[in-house]
Amino acid sequence: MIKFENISKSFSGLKALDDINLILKPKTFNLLVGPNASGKSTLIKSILGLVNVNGNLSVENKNIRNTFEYRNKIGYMPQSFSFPANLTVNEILELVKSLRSNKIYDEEILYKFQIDKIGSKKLINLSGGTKQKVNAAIAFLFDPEILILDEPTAGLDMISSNILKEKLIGENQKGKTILVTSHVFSEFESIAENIILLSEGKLNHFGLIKDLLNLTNETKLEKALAKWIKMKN
Amino acid sequence: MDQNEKLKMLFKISLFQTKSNISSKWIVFYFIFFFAASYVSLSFTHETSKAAVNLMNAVLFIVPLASLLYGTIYFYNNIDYIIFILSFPVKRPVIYISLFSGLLIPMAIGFLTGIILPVLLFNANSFLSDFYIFLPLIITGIYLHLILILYNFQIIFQLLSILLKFQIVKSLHLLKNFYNLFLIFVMFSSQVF
Repeated sequence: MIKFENISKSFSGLKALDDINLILKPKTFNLLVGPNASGKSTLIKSILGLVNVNGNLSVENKNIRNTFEYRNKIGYMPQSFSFPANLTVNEILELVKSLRSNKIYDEEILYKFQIDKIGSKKLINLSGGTKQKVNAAIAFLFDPEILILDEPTAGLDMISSNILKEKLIGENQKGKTILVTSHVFSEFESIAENIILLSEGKLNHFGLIKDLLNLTNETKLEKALAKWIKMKN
Repeated sequence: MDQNEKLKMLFKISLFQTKSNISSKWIVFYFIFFFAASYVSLSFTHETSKAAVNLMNAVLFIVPLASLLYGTIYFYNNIDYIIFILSFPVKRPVIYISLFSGLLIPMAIGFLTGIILPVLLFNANSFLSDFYIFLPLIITGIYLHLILILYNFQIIFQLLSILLKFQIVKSLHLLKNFYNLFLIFVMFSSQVF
């Protein structure tokens, strides 16, 4: 469970997060959406302890301030792949494996993406999509209880994107808590359970996707969100 | 996290940073520069002690400049990687020390091999006696790398913490510009004084 209590964060007077109160229950699949600069990345970074926020943020009922052990429970996939370009895929995997105490690995997606076949290749020689596959494989590698994925399907082809989505469904069914951000709502609206809508750092809406569709009388999430924002304004 | 685990992490990050940096074109260029300087110096003077004095002048000027410049490039290019590593359950000092050693070791290797190889090529028979003449130069070079890279890291991390604390910086671009000004100042003052 991830609990946000009065979470605020400002940069140069600009409020990136404004009094966020939110509880992400265990075993839920949450889709985080919002326009550009709405605070999505700051919200994710606050969970990972990469930005200091005001308020109380707890993961599995433990306040995360000044601790780092809780990150053993989190698998994070950043938007862009950022390892040193001169390293090989195998070296990257070896490096990240050494950074965790967890020694049980979930390498299913590694094989499904056929990353095992490109282990000796240097990152500098890989395409953007392949780098993104390695990125995703690292997030799942430690079989974490919480998965945080920032635009996971960006740069992936249709087949890989489906493999990733199937994996996410499987992990959710196993009881993992999932938080995904995406600009392509159609990709996750059928598999996500909850939607978190941020706008200008504020929590605009949080609830079940089907409730939002019913409220707005729409069948597509994209239209429902647009209607909801109009209704709110 | 016990001490062994911390050391293991530190070793791994340092090892892979070193591996990545050592094949960087900047470090290769750094090696070529010292190799050429050492080779030319030895071939013109034909006397190891004179060559060592000539090289000391180059070392005193080039090492601080390269440490500051490459240190900044390295830090700036790896910012996303550092942020990603920070999202792992690793203590901040472990990351700091590994990044520092991951930069220090390749630069020191580039410098050392660049200086020593020509000595070996010129007179392999008297290498040991020549090595003793070069020893003060090597110690000075390594010491300069050590303190200047540390100094560079300290300034970058302190600037980051100050700017973030007072929330002056929204993005790292402001920090980059600020630091560039500082580098220009350092280069200007090293030329003047």
